[in-house]
Amino acid sequence: MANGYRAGKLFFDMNRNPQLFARYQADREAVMGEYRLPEDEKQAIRDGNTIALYEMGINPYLMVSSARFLGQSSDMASLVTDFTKSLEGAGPSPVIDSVANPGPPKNGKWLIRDEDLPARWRGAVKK
Amino acid sequence: MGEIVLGIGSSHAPGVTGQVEEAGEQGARFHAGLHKIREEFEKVKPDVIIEIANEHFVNFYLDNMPSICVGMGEQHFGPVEPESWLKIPHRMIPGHPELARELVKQAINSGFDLSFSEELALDHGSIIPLHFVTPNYDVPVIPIILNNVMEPMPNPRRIFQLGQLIRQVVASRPKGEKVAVIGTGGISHWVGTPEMGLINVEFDERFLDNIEKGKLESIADWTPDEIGKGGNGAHEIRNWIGVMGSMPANSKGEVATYEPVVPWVTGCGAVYWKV
Repeated sequence: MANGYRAGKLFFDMNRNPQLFARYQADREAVMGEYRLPEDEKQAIRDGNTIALYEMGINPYLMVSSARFLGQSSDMASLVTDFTKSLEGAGPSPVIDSVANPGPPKNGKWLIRDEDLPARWRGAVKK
Repeated sequence: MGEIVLGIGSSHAPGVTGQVEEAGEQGARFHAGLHKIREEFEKVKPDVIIEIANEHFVNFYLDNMPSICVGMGEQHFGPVEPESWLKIPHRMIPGHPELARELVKQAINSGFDLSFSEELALDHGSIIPLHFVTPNYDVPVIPIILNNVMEPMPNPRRIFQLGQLIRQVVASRPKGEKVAVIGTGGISHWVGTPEMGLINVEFDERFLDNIEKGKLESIADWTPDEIGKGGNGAHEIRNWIGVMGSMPANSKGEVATYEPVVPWVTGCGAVYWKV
């Protein structure tokens, strides 16, 4: 079962190496082959399936900086809106444990308090 | 005897420079707070900056992920992000290899095995506060990169100890350098998750309230789950905890600004400790 490691490595390398990104744009299958991506990582990339890659375990920070490799805009405003929208309905990420997951805002409420977090996170806090 | 002359903690949301108009008056108030911190910086004229930050998969991937990495380079390239995106031109930032090496050496000799790199590139996490505090980049910077992006992350208490170590090393310097310690990132934010855009204002209030009261040891004991109430981005407060450890015990910080800026997806705060 893919865990996103190979795809993540490809994204990491392309962020640092414009020539690699150019080769990827010219022949994505060849470059994914060089990076030995397992088939389900390749398919998720072909489909631009951010949810699949997120649920496999590619770190969320790396997902954001790899939007353009998945056919999405990397404009700052687009990352906040379109990219986040593409993750709607995503299940938990396996690489995140110590992070509260209240889900997208309810009724346009972006500013939340502890009471808006799921039960696990509403425990006693050191003052 | 060297001395630490100033401590700073500041958010580093890319929108701070990349989406100024979208943030309107809130953004202007946050900028004003950073300008206030710059005034404090210029009053004390530090000789060197030790900047505790994290990066976001720029130098390090999962094949090699240091908990704490000290940048020993003569200079550092930054920001890595395109100028069209972050609105900050690329440049080389001067380092301080000699003090950096001394820090690592004393650390290792006191049971604190730090990693090091002679060639770190800096991303928005490091550059944004520098852009405001030292816009001419004429003060050498020793970047210390923490892993705040991939669990398991370093223990917050351990990072507080890193700050205490920095204090000891600076005090031991025969040259008597004046050092500013800057920590960047946070406060509450979610990055790359379906929650991106939420800000836990209660988490931010709690964090800043403890800082104002000088309850720095208390923050150093926050568990990862307590930190996680503020999103995956809140784990960056370890960088501020490093600064807290380098301050005199129980130092009260002054909050220069706090704005929950929804377009910047971050509860943005900036504080300073006068020493």
